[in-house]
Amino acid sequence: MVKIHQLVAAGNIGVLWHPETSTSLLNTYTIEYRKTTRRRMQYQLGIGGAYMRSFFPNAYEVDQDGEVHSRPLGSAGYFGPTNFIGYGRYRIFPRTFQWWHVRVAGTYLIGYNAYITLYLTAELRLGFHKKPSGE
Amino acid sequence: MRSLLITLSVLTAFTSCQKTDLGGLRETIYAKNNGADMPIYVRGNGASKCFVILVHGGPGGNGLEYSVGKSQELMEEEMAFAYWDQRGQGMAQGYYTSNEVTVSQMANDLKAVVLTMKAHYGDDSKIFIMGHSWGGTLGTKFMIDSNNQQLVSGWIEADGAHDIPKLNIDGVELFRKVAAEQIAERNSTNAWTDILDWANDINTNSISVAEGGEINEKAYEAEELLLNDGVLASGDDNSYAPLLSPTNLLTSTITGNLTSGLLDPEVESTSLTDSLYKIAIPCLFLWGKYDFVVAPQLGVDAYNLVSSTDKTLVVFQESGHSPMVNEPELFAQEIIDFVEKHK
Repeated sequence: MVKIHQLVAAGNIGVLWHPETSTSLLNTYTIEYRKTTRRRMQYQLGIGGAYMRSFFPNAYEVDQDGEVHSRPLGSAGYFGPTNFIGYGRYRIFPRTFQWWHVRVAGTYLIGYNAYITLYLTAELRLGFHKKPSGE
Repeated sequence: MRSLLITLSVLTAFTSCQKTDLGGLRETIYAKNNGADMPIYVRGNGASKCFVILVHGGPGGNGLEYSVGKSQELMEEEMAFAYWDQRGQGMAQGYYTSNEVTVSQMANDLKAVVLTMKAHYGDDSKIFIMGHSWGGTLGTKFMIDSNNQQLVSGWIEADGAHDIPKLNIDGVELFRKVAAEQIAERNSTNAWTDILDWANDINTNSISVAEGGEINEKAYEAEELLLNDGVLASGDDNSYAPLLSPTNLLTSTITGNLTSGLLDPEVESTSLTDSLYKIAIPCLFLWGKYDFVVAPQLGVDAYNLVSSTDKTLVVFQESGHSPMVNEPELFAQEIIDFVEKHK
């Protein structure tokens, strides 16, 4: 078995939800470098861009004249760069449970509360494949 | 695109979490004002139609920090509390510039919160405002601006910092007085002697920003000593609260600190004592006797200077900067009585 180096373009979409705050969709588009060792452990590094849109429940907007308007799908969006590091296991030959890895990503949301705000996410990612025929 | 919008609508509907029985109200509404999207967590007896908007401390705190403990439990049985996350703090979001992070803008945000509450719960709702610490600066600013006070039924200031330069001077004087008393009582003598020496070295005619920060730090040290010696009531232990809160601690800490950093130069020179006479609505001033952060003298000033004919000052004898923690039952009862009288 040899070491494998990969360069992958990837897009991800995730939902951040809490019943008492907002619901956010976080989209990331990354170029990822993945190195799989002879022991099939995989190291990952990635960099790219992100867009987060947050939706607010029971939202109202107050205009310059002090008039209040209901905003049923009130939302705000932020762009920013993102990067991540990941570590996990990748089984090269086809398996039902093909891979897992843990990723920690930092997204720098531009203009979030007037600043560039670091938004950290931690992910446990699991890769399942349809069981290969003939096994 | 259509299916995406439907999905988002369903998700948004789930997040609103409103109970039809307003008696046990627990819902979140958002106020958008000049670029900021600010959550208001409303909890308690909504059927009473009495809502207390809690203006949190900091800058850099969050509304839900105040939602736990015996005092809130008692008060939420009688009225509803609206725990508002101010611009750039807690879980507030939005897209705006740093020029829009000012005391005036945030007082305008408070007005937007009041209007939003009335739009959501009806014009017949009775709104009270309660500011703690920095929330006292913001609440006072709201009260003295234009005709804002006519929108609300009462103003509750709990250890509120409506005059930052003065609170530093009064704080140092309180350190000197209490340190001498505690040394005479033989309570934590070495620690109080150090505090007395430190306080005596400060020139109250020119307190620097750095010394202001030091006074704030020493205030909590002093409270700890008084707590250990049984001078302060131990009250509630709310240290677990952040773990149960929907507030994301990391995001809240990052944005709260940045907002605090932006506001600090303005806040350090904010003095509203000369404008207190403009306040004419019912007022309740609640202070801890041993509040070194915002000395009780500020409460006495506020009580003497507002034009209100209906005003009360209560100094809690076994409390520091947060009487709602030290003496929760007494604190709650004062607010319940005040709201009952003016609703």
